[in-house]
Amino acid sequence: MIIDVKFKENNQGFNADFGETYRVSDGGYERGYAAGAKSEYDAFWDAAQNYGAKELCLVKFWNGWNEDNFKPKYTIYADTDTFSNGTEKTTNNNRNRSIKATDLREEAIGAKIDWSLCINFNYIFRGAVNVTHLGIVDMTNAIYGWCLFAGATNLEYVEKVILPPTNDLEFKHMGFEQPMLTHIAFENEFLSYVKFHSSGRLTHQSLINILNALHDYANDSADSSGINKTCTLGATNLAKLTDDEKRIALDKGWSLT
Amino acid sequence: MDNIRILTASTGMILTNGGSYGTTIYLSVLDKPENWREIPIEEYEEILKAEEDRNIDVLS
Repeated sequence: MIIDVKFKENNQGFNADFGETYRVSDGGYERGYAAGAKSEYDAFWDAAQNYGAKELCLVKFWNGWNEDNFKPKYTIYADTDTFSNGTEKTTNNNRNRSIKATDLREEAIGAKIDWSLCINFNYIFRGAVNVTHLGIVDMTNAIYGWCLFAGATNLEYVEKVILPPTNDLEFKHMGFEQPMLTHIAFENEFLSYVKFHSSGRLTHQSLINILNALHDYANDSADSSGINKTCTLGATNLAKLTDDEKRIALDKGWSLT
Repeated sequence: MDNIRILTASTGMILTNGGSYGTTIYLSVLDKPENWREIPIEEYEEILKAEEDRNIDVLS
């Protein structure tokens, strides 16, 4: 199925693959919208997002979508079926490398990206070198989180990551350690080792956010002897912390390096 | 308040507990020096390379 959305200037087209093909056949998408072609905008997004009901993931937007034209009408929900489907999840996740939008926060694109239904976060932003800002990444229902941000080398700001309640095995290499990362915050706790050693630009507050997110094993009666309780921050970040601040981690049973 | 216990790797070596690596380790209240051992930096680089290759394999 192809829906042509024509604004006042017809230039190049760009694609969004939703399993079926919906096509915006105008490079002047934003110009057309600004010129009063809201009906065309509505026609496209109402169909693509099924009036807000369709689960639709960020990976569907590739090949030309940027912060000027990526203006969803409704909340975008992660497509759990896509991400829980073996090979397809990897193939589709790779597409995120092509998205040109840099700021994916709600205030930039005009709609929320809701990840709360997504169960498989493997590689979602791996190699997404254009993405610089993210809003809340809700991993409440996540089962997998391997290399979530690996290779997202320009990622600067993550408003908050809501960690899943159990993240002991499949969250070892989430790829937080991006070189441009300055801000990150967390809800819930890290249960096994985490790495931020390449993120030397992290603010002091972000480092405190990380330390505060480490589970308190020192006051946990359960046997944690088999768990690697190490938080790798790197020398640059460690130098930003006082001894008392390091003790936030050390006193909870986490070694720092 | 107890002093912070710090392990420092020898020149050309990296400290590891089998999953994490570093040249300076601030030991937690639950950690012990014997949980860490030194490996040559070349071995550490091989581990990093293997990890990177595995990630590429998964993506291809």
